[in-house]
Amino acid sequence: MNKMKNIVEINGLAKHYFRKKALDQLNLTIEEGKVVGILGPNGSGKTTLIKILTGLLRQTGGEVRIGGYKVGVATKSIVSYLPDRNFLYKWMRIKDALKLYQDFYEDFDEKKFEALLDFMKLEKDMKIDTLSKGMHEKLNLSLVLARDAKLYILDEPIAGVDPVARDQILDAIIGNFRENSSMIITTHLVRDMESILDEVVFLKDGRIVLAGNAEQLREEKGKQIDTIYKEVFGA
Amino acid sequence: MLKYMKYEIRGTYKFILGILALVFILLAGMYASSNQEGSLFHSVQIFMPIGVMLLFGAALIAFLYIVGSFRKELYEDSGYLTFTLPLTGNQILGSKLIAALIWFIGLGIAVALINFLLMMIFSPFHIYHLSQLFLVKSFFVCKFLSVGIE
Repeated sequence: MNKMKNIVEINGLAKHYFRKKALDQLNLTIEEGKVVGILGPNGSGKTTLIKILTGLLRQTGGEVRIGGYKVGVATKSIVSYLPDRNFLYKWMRIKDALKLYQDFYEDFDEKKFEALLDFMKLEKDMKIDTLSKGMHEKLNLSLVLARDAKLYILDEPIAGVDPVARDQILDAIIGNFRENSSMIITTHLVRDMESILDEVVFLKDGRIVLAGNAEQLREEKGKQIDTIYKEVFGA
Repeated sequence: MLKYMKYEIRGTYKFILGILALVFILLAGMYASSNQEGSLFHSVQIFMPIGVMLLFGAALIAFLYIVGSFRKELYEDSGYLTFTLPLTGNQILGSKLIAALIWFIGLGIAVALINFLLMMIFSPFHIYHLSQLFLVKSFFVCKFLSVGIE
């Protein structure tokens, strides 16, 4: 019985903002070891879905389980989340952020973080509010990847970053991915991310319009995911 | 929870120290000039109300700042960090409230000490009646703050 373990199980998930439906009857399972890309234009419900998974929002209906737990303190300690914001406290230096992660997350690996900082060419004494946009993104990613989490959630990890930094970030993601965990990546820069995705989920108006193994989809349609994306969401 | 309080306090201490420094400088100025004949602050009738206003002003600024620190978590990006830490909402809220309480008590005590110190330095002759007034005032301020927080 070589059944893969499901890290994420989402059943009939719904989120309404008053009468507007941001997510509608969403079903999704993510197996251990998979990198899943959630693709969709702005306003398709990507961020809402991620906020529910990370416990920042509460769903209106349906059920979400991560590693068997309902979203809460238990899931927060096994989910490593990279928001698309500069989420660190403004008064910090990089070493303070390191201390904070060490204090709160038992799975944080200081050696790994230092290696990542080195790779990203960042210094521990740098002040957070003096970092550039690309450096912010690199630092945040280093913190997130240095955890030995069950589920990584990366929200737009390469948006607004120059091509060199983009490659560095992708290399870091590939190089630090652990076999026994899973990863969710949202993006609309499909072409850049395509190579690292095992599975893709196309989200439109809060519903999944297409989902499956990236390799199979490419074979079936004889097209790159990027082209399929444009077909699905194009006018 | 204690861990989170540590970060809450580290995030706010510079501002609180700033208020304290400002209060110290203004009070020192008032004390110094109240020693001179004919100064604006010479009479207790003017000195007292301005001193009290200064202290209430400082307390108010500190209070607004702490309210602001809650607002910041809710509406700004650092909330993404705070609310994805493996802590319950009550733990986060509790830490912030306790940190605020510590600041108010600390600020009250520090201001009382500053008053006492300045009196010793600048107006040893006035101590006789000023100290009575200030003890009452400091007590009143502390009392007001602790009631305000509960």
